[in-house]
Amino acid sequence: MTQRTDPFSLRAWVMGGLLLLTAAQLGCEVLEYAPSETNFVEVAPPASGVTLELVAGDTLAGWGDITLTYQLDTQGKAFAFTRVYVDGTLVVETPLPSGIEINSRNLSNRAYRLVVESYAHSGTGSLADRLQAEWVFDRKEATLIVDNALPTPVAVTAVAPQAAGVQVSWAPYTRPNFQEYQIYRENGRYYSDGTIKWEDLGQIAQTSVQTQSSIVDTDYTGGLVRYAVRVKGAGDLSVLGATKMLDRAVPALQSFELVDDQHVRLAWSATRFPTWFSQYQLFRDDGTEAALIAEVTQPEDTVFVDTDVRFGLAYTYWLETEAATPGGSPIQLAYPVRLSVATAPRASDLINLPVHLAAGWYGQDRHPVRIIRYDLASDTVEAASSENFGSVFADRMGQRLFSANGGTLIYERDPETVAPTRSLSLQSLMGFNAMGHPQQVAAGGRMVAWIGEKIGSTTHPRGPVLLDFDSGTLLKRYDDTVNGDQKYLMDLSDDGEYVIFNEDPAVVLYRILETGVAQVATLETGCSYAFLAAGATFAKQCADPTVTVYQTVDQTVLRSFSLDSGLTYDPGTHTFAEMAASDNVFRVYDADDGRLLASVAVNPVGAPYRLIEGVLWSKTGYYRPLNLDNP
Amino acid sequence: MSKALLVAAIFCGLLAMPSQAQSYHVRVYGGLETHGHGDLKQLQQEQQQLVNLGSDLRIVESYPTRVGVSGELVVAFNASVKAGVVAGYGATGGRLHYADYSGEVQFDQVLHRWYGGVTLETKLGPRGPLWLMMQLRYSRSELAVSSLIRLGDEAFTEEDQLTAAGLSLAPGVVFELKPGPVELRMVAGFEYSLIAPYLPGTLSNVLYLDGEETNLQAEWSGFRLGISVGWIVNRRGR
Repeated sequence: MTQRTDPFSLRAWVMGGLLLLTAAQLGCEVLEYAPSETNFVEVAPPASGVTLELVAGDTLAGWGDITLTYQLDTQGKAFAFTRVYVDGTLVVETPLPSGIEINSRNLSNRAYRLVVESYAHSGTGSLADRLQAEWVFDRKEATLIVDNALPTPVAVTAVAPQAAGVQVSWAPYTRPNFQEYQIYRENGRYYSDGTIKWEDLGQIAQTSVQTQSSIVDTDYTGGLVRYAVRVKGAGDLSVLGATKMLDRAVPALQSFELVDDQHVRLAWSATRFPTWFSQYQLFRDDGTEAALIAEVTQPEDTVFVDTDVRFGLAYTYWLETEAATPGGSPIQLAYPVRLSVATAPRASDLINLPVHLAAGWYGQDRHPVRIIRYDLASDTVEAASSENFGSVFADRMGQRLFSANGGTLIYERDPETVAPTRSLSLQSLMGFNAMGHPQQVAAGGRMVAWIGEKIGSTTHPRGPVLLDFDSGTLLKRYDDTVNGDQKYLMDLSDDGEYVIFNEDPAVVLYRILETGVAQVATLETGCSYAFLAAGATFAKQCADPTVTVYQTVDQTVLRSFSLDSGLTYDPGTHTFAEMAASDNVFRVYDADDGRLLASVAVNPVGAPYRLIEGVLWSKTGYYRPLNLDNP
Repeated sequence: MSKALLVAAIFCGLLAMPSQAQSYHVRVYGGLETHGHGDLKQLQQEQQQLVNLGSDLRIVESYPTRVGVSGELVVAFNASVKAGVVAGYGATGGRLHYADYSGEVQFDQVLHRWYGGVTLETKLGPRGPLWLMMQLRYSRSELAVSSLIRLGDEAFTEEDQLTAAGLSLAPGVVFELKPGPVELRMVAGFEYSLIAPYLPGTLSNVLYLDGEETNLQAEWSGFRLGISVGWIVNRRGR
């Protein structure tokens, strides 16, 4: 039997459909696709950071656009950017690796907490690094002081006249809103009613260095002026600060006199305005500090003796006058000239006398030159001349002392007392109004001197002469058209018997006779010559280091050796000595064979040094005994 | 929406069936499906270039072979011919991924489809268990593309949804056994997509593959191998 079922039975279709729907629903939920695979890559995090340093340190002060500079060590990583926060707010970001500007105009005038962060790319190769979103950074905090207020005025504190002008000093300006100082000068006129009228205010200088507190006004030509300073900064210029007045036509330091080793007498002119006078103030600068040394309250007192002078130092003195204006405010008036005095022999030549040394003693600005007998070793003056001189010379063996003042007389002086004993008149010797001074003196009193002829107020050079001081005779007059010195005279023997003169183009060896001089030989040009052994021999050194020693009488060659240092002969030790500029070493060589006998490094560099009887001296007071037997 | 379409397709198919059917069959099918999706795979390669990670951004999943399911209502007109309706579902997709301590990058493509269609089967030989099968399918595909870039605790995401509809032919060979009212079938075949361009979602469906402007195609072409279990709802005498 066959069973027939209606294929369109609603029941069967509904059942089948529901079955399919259920299966489909289950299948969708089970088979829903959701990716799950991952790819995690091991990357090392950054191992090092960056180092940030603020150039300004812990505090940065300024106004307007404040430049913040910093130093960044990224340790090889690529710099990214720097951010600046002010009180927690990001105010600026820059890609510049060294500096950034902060606009402070919108900030009120106060201190802020400044945070600076500099970032560098991590360089790890991580995802964040590749997307340029991973950085290493360093942070520094500082205090930012903003000052956009108008600058406050600064006062001129002093006007100090100097030889070069007027030094104008002012109180330092410490606020950060600084751009420049502007220095002003205003001319004043005295009126008979005691008032002063000011006019022609003008800026004379400016400087953008905030730490600078003085300038020198080189254009001050005299008269009453006053100086003022204003500060340019945020909001432009401050008002003019307190002024200082100056009038060089007021009491001026006019002279000083060295009374003795420990006293300097100073004199000045009296004030023209005794009514306003308050006091004279005398200042002294010994090279290390300037100090007020006297206050003189009587306007007619114009002399002061400084009793606190230490021999061997140089001093500068100046005078200021304090006055009171009709308005009652004190003003400082000063004369723009300072007087200087050097109390030491160090500025002059050292002369080798037996046991002791003599030297000039002089001050600057055409002030007196004196001759002293001075023991450098004990730092004491043993004798001093009472008059002024231009130059002083001893013979090369240190037996006789001569001097000249640039006038018509040459003096011989007692080596012990340095007092004059004899004189020679160049005018009578030359037959015209001759002036001169010796250049080189021999033991026998023979000397080479340079002569000039004074016609009116002008001295015309008349060249070198060879004269015999003892007999008062002119041995030879070489030339009357020359101006130079060393070009002609080469050397004079110690006993004064021979002289080598360079009479261009020839170099001539002369022998000095009682009646004059005789030409002995013509020597090679372009060389240096020095008499040795009192003149019995002489040495020659030309372009190369070779030194050749000749017998003076017949110019036969005795020996030769090499010497780098040149021919500076010391008859006392029979050595050549020289300070080499290349290494500042003073070296002493045997004059016979050029052996190095001693070498010593010297200080200060550049000072002239001289070997006298085995002791190394300099004009600065340096001395050191040298053992020439054991170099 | 998709379920409503499925029900509509089922009833439409049934109404079209001939009235002289001998039996009808309800089947549930499940089987492995491979997929072409050449455009979407190429899209993954394009996405690899979007982030400066080079080959470190790896394609970790790319339209793998997955199980698809379907249901069928089939009417057997005689011993050699069956016809009916079919509805099915499949899902697949792909992923690009990179992660390290600093964050991750992820591009996901999730694709699924519903399809409905008609099936026609004819027996090979008078007595053998083999049948030839041909299905015409109408597919509706939904492609969800999403991207994620996470750096630390900060994440940036973007999503888009594209849809496509198209026809495909699915021929196959069936090995069929009928132990009682149950019908066991093993199906091996192939699906060939005819045409199925994606329609734009929130973003454009036009991508620049190989530098040329291209409309993405839903390409479900691939091999099919699976089994189905059926119930012969109405069986007229043997």
